[in-house]
Amino acid sequence: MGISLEREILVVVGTGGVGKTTLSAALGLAALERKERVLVVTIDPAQRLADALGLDSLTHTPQRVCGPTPGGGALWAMMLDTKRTFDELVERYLRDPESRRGIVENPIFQNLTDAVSGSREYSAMEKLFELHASGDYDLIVLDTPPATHALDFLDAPRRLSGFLDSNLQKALLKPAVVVGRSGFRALRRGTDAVISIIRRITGLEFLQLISGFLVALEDLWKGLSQHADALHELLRSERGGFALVVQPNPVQAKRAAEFSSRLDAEGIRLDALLLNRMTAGFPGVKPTSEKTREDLCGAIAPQLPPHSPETATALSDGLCDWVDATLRRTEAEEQASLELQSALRLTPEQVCRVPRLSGELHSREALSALIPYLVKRNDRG
Amino acid sequence: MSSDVAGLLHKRLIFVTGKGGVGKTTITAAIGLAASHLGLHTLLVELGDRPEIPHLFGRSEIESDEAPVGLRENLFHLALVPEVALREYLEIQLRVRSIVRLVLRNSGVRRLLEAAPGWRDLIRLGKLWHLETRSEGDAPRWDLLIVDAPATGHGLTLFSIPDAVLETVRSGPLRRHAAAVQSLMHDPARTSVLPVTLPEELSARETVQLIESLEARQLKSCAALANAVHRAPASAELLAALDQLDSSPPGLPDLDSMRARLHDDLDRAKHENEWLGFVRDQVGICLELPRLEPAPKSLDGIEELAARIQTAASPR
Repeated sequence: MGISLEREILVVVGTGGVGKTTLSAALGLAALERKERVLVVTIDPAQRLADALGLDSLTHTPQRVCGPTPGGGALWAMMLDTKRTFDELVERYLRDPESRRGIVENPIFQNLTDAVSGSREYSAMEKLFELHASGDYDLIVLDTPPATHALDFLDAPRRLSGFLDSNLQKALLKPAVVVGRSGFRALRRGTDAVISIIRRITGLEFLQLISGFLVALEDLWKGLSQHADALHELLRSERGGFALVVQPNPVQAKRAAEFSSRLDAEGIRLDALLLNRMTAGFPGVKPTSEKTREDLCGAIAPQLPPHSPETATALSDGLCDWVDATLRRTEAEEQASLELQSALRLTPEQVCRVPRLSGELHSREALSALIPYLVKRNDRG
Repeated sequence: MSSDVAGLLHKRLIFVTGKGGVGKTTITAAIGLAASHLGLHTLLVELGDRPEIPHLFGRSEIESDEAPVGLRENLFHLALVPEVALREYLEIQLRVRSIVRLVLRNSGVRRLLEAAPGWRDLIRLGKLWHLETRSEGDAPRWDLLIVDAPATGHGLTLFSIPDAVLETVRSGPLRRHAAAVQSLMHDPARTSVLPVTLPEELSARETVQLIESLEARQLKSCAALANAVHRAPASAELLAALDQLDSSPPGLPDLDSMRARLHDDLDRAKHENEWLGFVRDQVGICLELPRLEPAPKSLDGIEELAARIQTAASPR
């Protein structure tokens, strides 16, 4: 059972609200038993996580959380502020003040940075590349941004490159340029016609703004694409791993098949499936029978004031209903877990069942309670 | 409590949003069912090409992504696919289909659409505006549109995209259309956002922030709907009854594990109450719906939730 912590980068993916951030932090703690320098990078600014790690707040740069432990491991944590990282990238890559102005003063940059594919994802990739390349950490656990599609952060940057190479982009920026080669001329005529049509709807100004923004990003993109490619390779190799966090319910199970084909298309194998917040049930117990209810009623009645048979029945039914409800929930969860495992073509050893722990995870000790559910037994100690 | 829900059903356009995993789709379906029972001609809208609601109503294949599909009397569903809506918009604007094809097949246009996905949100709102304004004779085509909106962060981007366009584009049809969409979004008589929350910390905090952000954007939100509130059959009385027993009768789990589980459940119920109280104090709660076991991904579960919504919407 459990996750291999032998990787250099472990990417934790999943949709919003499933507990990725908490499990990422717990994985970081778990890794201290195997690795010396571990960094957890989160996108989620949840104060609760900072509290759980014993920090005042998570910052944009790594802070030491704990360690060295007796085993020699130390844990760092940081919060990746994607907007700020992107601004830093613009500063760093666009030394030419004019192209920097082209981006920063572009109304789209002010309004729609998020609307342009990949700006946040680029930032996350670049930061991850930087942290890995620094050699300061043996393992980086990355808690990815919540996304409907958990892998968006991998391929969003790629979409930008398609447009930057297109005729439309060139024509928008230099409408007056006459292209010499005859083959190009035919293409250009088609493109010019299209531009004049779109113009009727959006106005040329808008098209030029968008285009200008994407083109101003071109230098930035060129600087980053090599890093993004290198990181992609790393994540596909033995040095990188992916863990998917889900809550075991029928909807998640249905989405898993789709997710699986997406992983295949990316050439990525899933290391582990983390089934989070599973109900701690009653293994081996069957739904209650009439006989059990009567027995329980009989056992409770003598403890109550005399002549209160209704109370005894109510208590007995209440307890039995509660047991049955718990059993139904665990059965539904188990069913969904098996569907997920088979849709993702995982072995039972790759599936971690993490129980819903009582109380809130507001201390390192509480987070540590998750460790036994995450790592292989023979990996520990 | 009842007036909030009744008021909500008097709008024309409801956006159901909230943190990921709070049950937006289920609530969208349940409100739709309740509205249709009350005689409102209702259209449920999902914003992608993989809709889930038709499955809940027992439809395995999606018949159409262009025309609304009937689910029940008075209840229809539309999968609003941005690519389809864009083609429809261009057909209305350009009138000639061959020209629309020329534009959409242009590789540069296709790449631009890939590179700047923000257009999808704009066209989604544009299509909703179009649906809202359609009429049949003197009556509107739809009494009520209920949108299964994206989760909080993306939801806020979606709601404010007309503002961004108006700041960026100074003239032309696009500006006129964005202004029309914005006036629908900003009209509290027609449009409301319904934030859905779970009784737990992260979603409670996000809900309060969401409602503050909506106000800052001049968008009307109603009080939060609390979903999946534990109807804990677990109670202190049950725990006390367990304490009276020496051993558990055959067929039941042993006393210690029952006691431990009951303690957990009571503990959770206590936390849930605290976070419900937090939301109630900060922004109000329009309705509490129970957690259904197992998850309400069947029509029975949705019918049960719809019945509660209907009761809350009816005059007392």
